[in-house]
Amino acid sequence: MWDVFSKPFVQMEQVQFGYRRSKVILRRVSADLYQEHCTAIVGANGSGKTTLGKLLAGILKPWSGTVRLEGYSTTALRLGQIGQMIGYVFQEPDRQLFAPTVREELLFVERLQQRLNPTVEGKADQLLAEFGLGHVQDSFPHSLSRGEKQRLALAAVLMREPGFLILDEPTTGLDLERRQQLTAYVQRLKAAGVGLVIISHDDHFIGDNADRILTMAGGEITDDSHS
Amino acid sequence: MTAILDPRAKLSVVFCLTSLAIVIQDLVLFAGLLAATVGASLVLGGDWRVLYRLRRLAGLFVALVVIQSVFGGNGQPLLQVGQLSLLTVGGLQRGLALALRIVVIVLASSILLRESSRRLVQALIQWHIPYEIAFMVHLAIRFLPLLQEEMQDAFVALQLRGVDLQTLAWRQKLQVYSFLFMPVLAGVIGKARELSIAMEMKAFRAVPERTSHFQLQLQPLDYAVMMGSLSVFVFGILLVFWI
Repeated sequence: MWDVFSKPFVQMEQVQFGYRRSKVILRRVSADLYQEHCTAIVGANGSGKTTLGKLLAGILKPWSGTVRLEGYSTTALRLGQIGQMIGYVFQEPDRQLFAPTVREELLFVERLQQRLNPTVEGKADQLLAEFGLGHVQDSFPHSLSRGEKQRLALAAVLMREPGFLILDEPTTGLDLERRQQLTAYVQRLKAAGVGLVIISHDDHFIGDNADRILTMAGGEITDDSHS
Repeated sequence: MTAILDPRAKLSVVFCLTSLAIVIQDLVLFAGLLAATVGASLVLGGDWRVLYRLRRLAGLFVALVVIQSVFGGNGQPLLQVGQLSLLTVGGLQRGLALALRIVVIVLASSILLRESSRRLVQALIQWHIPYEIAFMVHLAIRFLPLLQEEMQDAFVALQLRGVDLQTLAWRQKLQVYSFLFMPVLAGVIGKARELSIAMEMKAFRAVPERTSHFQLQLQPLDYAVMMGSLSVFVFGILLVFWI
């Protein structure tokens, strides 16, 4: 059904993984993910959703089988290289905020790589405005509310303009209004051609955004449906 | 054995072994101390995986041997480049002593890793160490693995922002590491704040004395282990002064 699209951005073939040798978490999972889709990964606690997301992002390496990003195996790529291909927004935004101010959070990687110029700064200002963070641009990121931190983490990842984005439980701790704002951002990303994977328990958010739903249970994909 | 012994007996063993590791300089004595530590660790259930983790410090040990040889300047030269001694007997001895000291301290301390933190706190309290200090020890034991995990997560998140460490110069790498402290420090402060609120809600320090239903009782075997470790300590100290 999905082969009407171009090449898959992410290819998983027979992926097997566990944190301990004695316990397998993912059992021979195979799936192709396309940039044209917003794919949701759903399932009960402990079904292997977040583990699958971390395997997609190369944070974890499979025991057997392969995960390929744009044709390159994640076992052969360094995390820094993967970070230039995809963006990953963690469930807990506190662990991915590094800079002393909100604006600097968007710019420090470019500054580190000596690529800071007026265009990049303009892009940062645009993202701050889009994500409603302009009024707190000089604040300490860790003093922001949870919703603001979540938006800042997403904006910081988008600075690199990744072709594919993985969001792990993006609606945790967000009220209805913030959830609707996030839906608007996701729709904008979809329109811009960014591939998305959303790992979530939030049925409403998934219903509003996902074109494809992978259901996981017991470390396997038990259903692959599309809207 | 590890489950039977009172934590105070284990603390005595660890205290004696680590104190001797600081005092001893002679390599022969160090070999004996290492043998005693390995034996204690085997009997008392030390965590041998900590030694595997020390492999990361191998480069540091080699660097220390070279630094001691170049700047210590004593002993017969074993490797020279022109007038500069890169490796001397004295430097090698000091470097080895330092490596052994770290191995002994880490391996001995690992005996406590498998002990329940509640029993350890109780042991300290029954040694009349103020409850606040004992509780701080408990917190340190409880939070160190969490801090390690947070550091690792932040490191992964930073690289996934497209920071490829292999392509960065050393000066930039140092900058990257400085960025890591921000989320970890913020996490620590946040946890400390939450913990202090939770403690106050449980009336921590509301009264000067705390009572505990759980009490440790020293057994004859505990006394024997404590006397044995004290004897090893005294014997070791005498040997240090004698040699």
